[in-house]
Amino acid sequence: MDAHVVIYYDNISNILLANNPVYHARTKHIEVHYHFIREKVLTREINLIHVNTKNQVADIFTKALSTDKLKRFRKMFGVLEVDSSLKGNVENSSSTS
Amino acid sequence: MKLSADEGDHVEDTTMYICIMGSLIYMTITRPNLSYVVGMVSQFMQTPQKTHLDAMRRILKYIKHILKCGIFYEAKSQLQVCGYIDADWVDNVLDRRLTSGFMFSFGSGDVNWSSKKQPTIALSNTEAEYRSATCCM
Repeated sequence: MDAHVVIYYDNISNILLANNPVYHARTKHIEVHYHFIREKVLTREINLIHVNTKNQVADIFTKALSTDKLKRFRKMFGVLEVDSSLKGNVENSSSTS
Repeated sequence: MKLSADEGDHVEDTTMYICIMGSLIYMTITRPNLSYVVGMVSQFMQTPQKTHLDAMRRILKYIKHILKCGIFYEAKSQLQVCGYIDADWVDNVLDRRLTSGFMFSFGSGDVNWSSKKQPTIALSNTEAEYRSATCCM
């Protein structure tokens, strides 16, 4: 499948675990259905890519961040400050971007 | 800031706390940056304390500040699905459960996101991240 989904991750060992289907003593207890992602990586539906913690946008969902990071990640989400109300036509909203 | 379950005075008007909570949850539908904090304060709905109410007031202050913000989907952006996953292993001091978060963007804007405390307890950070990777699918 060509049109795969790219997923960014900040944990290298995880990417290795998902890419390499080898059973390890410390991963033995992870239930079978949690290895679902491994299956998807093998069929190339998902592409796991490492990302630096500085650019890990999903951090915003798991921990309290500093103001700088919060503002930067917010922007990366597509959450922008629009001068006018969000209600309006396409011309108005595109001019404020 | 860490919130705990039994510390300080109880809030007398629990109904008010629950009412504000409902409104906050409603706001997370369009504001991904609120998901985590709202999830935090919503864990104390049964017996809310003064510290929890203070945290909630802080969130309301933040909301006042970001009222004009919204997700903007650019018309000329490249339409590619892209996801970010993250997990937090033992940040929650109450029950040590892992919090997983993910977001998927399509084009310039965020289309799907979640911040959720998982029912399982992970034994290592890698396991926590691995589990959250599967949970986001």
